[in-house]
Amino acid sequence: MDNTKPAGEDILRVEHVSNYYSDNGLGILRNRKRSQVLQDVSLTIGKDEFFGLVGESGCGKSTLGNAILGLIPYEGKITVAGLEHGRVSRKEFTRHIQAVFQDPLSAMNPRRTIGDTMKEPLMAHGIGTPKEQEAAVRAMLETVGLDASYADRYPRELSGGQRQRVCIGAALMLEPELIIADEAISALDVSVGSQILNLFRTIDVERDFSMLFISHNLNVVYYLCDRIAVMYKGSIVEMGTADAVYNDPMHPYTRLLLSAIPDYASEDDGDRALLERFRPPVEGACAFYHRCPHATDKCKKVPELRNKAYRGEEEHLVRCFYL
Amino acid sequence: MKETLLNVKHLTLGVTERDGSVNKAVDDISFEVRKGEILGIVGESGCGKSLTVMTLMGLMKDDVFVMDGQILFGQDDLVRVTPERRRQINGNELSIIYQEPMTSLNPLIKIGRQVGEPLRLHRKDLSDAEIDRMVLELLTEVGIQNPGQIMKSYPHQLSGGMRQRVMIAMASICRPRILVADEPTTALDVTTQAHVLSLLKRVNEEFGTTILFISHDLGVINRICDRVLIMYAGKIVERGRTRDILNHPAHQYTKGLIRSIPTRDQKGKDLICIPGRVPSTMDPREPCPFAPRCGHTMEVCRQTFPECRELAKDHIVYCHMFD
Repeated sequence: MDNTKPAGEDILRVEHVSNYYSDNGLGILRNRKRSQVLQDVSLTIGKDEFFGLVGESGCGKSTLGNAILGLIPYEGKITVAGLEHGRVSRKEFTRHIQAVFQDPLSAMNPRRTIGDTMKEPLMAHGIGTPKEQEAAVRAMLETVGLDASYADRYPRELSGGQRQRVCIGAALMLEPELIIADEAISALDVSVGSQILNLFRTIDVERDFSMLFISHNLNVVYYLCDRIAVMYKGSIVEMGTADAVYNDPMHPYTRLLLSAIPDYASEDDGDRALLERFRPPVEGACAFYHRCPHATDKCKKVPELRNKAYRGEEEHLVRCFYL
Repeated sequence: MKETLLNVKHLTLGVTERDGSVNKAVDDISFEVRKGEILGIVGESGCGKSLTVMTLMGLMKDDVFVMDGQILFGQDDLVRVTPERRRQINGNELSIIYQEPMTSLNPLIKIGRQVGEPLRLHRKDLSDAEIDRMVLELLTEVGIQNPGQIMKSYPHQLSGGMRQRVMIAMASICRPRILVADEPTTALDVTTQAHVLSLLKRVNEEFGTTILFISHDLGVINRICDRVLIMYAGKIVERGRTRDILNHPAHQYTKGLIRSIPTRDQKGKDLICIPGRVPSTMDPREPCPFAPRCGHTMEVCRQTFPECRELAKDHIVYCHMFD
C-alpha cells in the first residue's frame, strides 16, 4: 500500500448525498421538523483503495455506510462499480458490495453452522455446485486464518475474533469490489483486534477489493487506510491522504480529535485548551463554530470544502475559513 | 511509602458454569491500594478485572463466589462483612461508577434526587434543603454548567458525557475513601473521554479520593493512573508504576499488549500481535496461563506459576524468564 491515490476507475462514487430523519410520531404528537443527518457528502474510493471514515458518535458515518449499502433512503447519487441503487436489483448489487459490522454474533444465525452461513451468498446467486461451494467455503476459511474444520461449527463455539474472521470471509465469498467495514474491530479485545487488522492487510495483498473502513479510532484508520475523511455533524470537514490528514491535520476539529486520543507512549496530557467549549452555538454557522478556538464573525456561515494541498499531494480538502 | 487503604490477599474467585463444574476466574491475586493514588487494573475480557472489583463492592452475580482470600479495608474484611455493614460501606466509603451511566441511573427519577440519594441514606442528620444545596454545589464542581436545571431533568435528557459527570457526582457526594471506576469512558467519544478523565483526576486531587480504575486501554491508563496492575486470565502478571510498565514492560503479555496498538510509525508494517486468543474460564489453564500464547515458553512454565520477582523498586513481574 502506498499513499498515492490509485489510478483507474472509481469503485465508489458518492455525489452530493444528503439524508434526513423525521420524527414518525402520530397525529398531534408528530414533529414535522426533519433533522438532517448527512449534509451534501461527496467522496470517491478508487480501485484497491482503503478509505477511512472517522468521526464521533452521531456524526453520520454509519448513516453514510448504510446509505451506500442501500439500507436507508437518501438524496443524491451513489454508484458502486458503475451501478446505481434502484436501477439494478438488490441482488445484483450485493455481488459488488458487502459489509462487515461491529458485532459478529448478531450478524450470524446462531442455528446454522459457519459453513452454511458462508455458503449462503453463493447459493443465493446460484454460483457453483454444492461440492464446489463446500470447497470454496473451506478455502475461504483458510484465507481468513481459520481451520477448514470450522465449517461444521456453530457461532457460539467461536471466540469474538474468530467470528469476525468468519464475517470477513462471508463478505469476501462473492469477491465484491467494495467492502464496508463499520467499526469492525471496535468490539474486539486489543490483542485480537490487531490480528484482524493484520488479516485485512494480508487479504488486501492477495485480492483486489476496496474498503470503506468506518471507525471512531483515528489511530487505527491511519494505520490501515490510504485516504481518510473526517466527519463532523453530517459533513466532511477534512479529507486527504492518510499521511496528510493524520500528520498534518488542518481543520481544528481534526486537531481536537487527534489531541484527545490518549497515547500510551507520551507524557503529554493532550491539549486541554482545545477541549473547552468556547461560545454559544449560532444558527447557520459553521458546524464547529461553538467549539472552535479560532472562530470569528466570518464563521457564522457554512464554509465550503476547499483544496488546501500544499505539500505536493493531489488534494487535501478542508472545510474552514481560517486557513 | 503511603498508607495502605485496601489490601487484597490471595483472593480466589470461583465461577459455577452451566454444567455445574467450578472454574477459577480469579486465581490467588494479592495487591494493595495506597491512599490517594489512582491505581489502574488492565486486562482483556475475561481476565477477572471486573469480577475482582465486583467482589470488592459485594455485587457478585449468583454464580460467582469467593473460594479463598481476604479484602481488608479499615477494620473490615469485605469478603466477610455482614449485609448491614455492607450497606453502611457502599455508597459511603466505597462507591462505583460503570461503563454505561444510563443503566445505573433510574430513568423515572430526577437527577437532583438521584445524586442526593447517598446523602439521604448515610447522613440522616442533613435536611432536604441542605442536601439540595450540596448536590447543586457538587454538580457545579463536576463541570455541569446549569446545575439548577439539570437537577430537575431526567437522565434521558442528558448526553452521555453529562450522565457520566452526574454518576461521578453521585459516587463522590459522600466523599468515599475509594472510588471504583469500571471502564468509565469506554462508551464515550474521545473528546468526551478526555473531559471525564480530567474530571476524575480533579476528584482525586481536590477531594483526595483514591481511585481504582479499570480499563483495557493503555492510553487511558497512561493519562490517569499512578500505578497499574496487568491481569491475564485470572492472574496478576505484572505491576508497577505506570511509566515503568509502559516504558519498560517485562512480562511478554504486557509487551504484546503494547505492540498490538497501532502507532504512528507502524503504518505499512504488520503489527506484531499476540497469537491465539484470550482464554475463557472454561478453557483448561496451564500453570502460567500465558504459556500457550507466549513465544518464550519453557518446560517450567507448564509446571508451576512463577514466583514474584521485583525487578526494580515497585516493579513486580510474574514470569519464569526472570528466575
